[in-house]
Amino acid sequence: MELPSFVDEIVAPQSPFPLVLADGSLTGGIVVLHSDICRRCGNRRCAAADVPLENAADAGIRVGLCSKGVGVAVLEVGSTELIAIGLLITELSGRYTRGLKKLLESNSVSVDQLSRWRDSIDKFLAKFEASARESVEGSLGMLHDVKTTLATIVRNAEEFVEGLPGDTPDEQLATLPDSGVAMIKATEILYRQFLMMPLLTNPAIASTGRRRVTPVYRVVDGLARTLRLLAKERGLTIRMYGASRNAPRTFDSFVGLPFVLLENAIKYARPGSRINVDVNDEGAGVRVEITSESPHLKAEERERIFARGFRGEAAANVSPHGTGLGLHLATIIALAHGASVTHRCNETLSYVDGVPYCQNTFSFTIHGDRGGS
Amino acid sequence: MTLWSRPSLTRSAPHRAFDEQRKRVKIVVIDDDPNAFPTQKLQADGYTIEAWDFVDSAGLQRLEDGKFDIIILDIKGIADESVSPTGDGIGILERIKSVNPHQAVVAFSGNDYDLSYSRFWKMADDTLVKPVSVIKAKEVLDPLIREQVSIEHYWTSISAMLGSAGVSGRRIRKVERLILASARENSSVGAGQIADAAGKWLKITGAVVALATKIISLWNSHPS
Repeated sequence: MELPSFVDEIVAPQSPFPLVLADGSLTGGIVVLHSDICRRCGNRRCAAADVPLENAADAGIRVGLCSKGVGVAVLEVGSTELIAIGLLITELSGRYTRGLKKLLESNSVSVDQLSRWRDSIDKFLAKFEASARESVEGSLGMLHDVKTTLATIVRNAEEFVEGLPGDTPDEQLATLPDSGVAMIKATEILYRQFLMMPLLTNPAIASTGRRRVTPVYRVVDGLARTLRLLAKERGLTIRMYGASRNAPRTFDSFVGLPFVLLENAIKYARPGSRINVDVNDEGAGVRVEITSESPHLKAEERERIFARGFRGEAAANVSPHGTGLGLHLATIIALAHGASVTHRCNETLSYVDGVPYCQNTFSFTIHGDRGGS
Repeated sequence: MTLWSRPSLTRSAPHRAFDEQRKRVKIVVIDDDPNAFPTQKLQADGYTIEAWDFVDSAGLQRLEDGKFDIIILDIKGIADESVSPTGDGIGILERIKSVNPHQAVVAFSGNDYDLSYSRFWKMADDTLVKPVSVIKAKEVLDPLIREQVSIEHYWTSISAMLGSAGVSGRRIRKVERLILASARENSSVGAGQIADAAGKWLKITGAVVALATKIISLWNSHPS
């Protein structure tokens, strides 16, 4: 758990002492006293290295006077430190000037009181973390059960297709009615989507295992054929271009990268439009570009679209139920391969139901010898 | 072989076709879910696979002694604290690798979302994430078979293990000559002979004997 945000949002507003946070801002329950000593202080070097602090009777607390002669207590809470300031620490009362003693008397506190407050925060934090952990473990447990069921579905779908007449999967699928083909393709899509999920909690998995020779054009073409099922439902066509022959060595996670970009293109493309997929060699690597007529991104949104949970305003209007995870996942996989996903837009806008669209291109170049842990 | 050239296992080793390698390689799949790995389909395709649902002490000894060329190992439910310090597959993997770092182990699990198992994935030689298809399983197994199931690889493992155990270069060459002679005569090599050549009894002697036996078997499966 990130303690700074825990402090900002939960601890600080409830604190009986004025606190200095990591960014130097003042906060806390009784914020700074009836005098303005701390509020006006330009230094905020309350617990700097040259401020002499001594260990109090409680091992997790150090106390002293700052450069202005005001009491400071550094308290270890969890894995971080809170700095309580503007104090008249009773154990150090002999060191204060008479004037300061008078000014600070309403903030008089003993080490014992600091210790009890710190302990209560520690207990609260431990319960908070245990509850969060239980919730995560419960979810992970369910995820494992869902995966087991998915494994059964995938295995049976494969066996079903293998039992059909024909020498290749395409020939075998051709013997099925459209609904049967759709079911098999939907299973493949579900499988691919599921394989992406662990990257959210464990990004390092993107670079585990051996790198394998990957004929990128063939892989992307295979994904395009599978995703045509979803594209068709929105009246979209997917066209493959390019003549890549290179086969760089990639991790197993690589397939997720073009999959997510294609899936995103299908989700946001203007219905009835075309998605172009270009796969060409670039040196020893392969460059993949996916272009679609999709919601325009403002300049300030373009850097942020790769961040977890972020969605462009126009895209959110078109598809209110998105999660903002797709491009984030694509970035994780690209990084594992020493690559990056880039975006460009042709800035020629058209409007559909008031939403601005343009030709958006998402691209990456994959080399076989970069990235990895 | 000229008079001045030193005989070596790797220079003298005969080559063999992949199909033959695949038949000879011994694979064990350790998973408490018997349906998780496409064992029967791969057996029908000519792979030699044993399926375990749990590792007991006798099983661990077989794994440490190098009885299998490739180990496909799950994390949860396949071991307890009696054989695994962590009570799961991570501890088993650690024990196997501590005895023979060159033992081929494939991490096989659906727990790829769990950060706490990162070490498991990193320690293994390759990974298979559930659910796994026959094609995917072969994609992982076949390169391992080509690389690992060879006299060159077995000898590299033996010399690395002996070196790590403090055996001198001169003694390692003595072990090599012993194994080469046994291979040519198609005779077995025992723990005592290995210990004698190495100059001392080692904890890894059992694993060395197992690998030496594989070398001799591979050598003689292809009469020159």
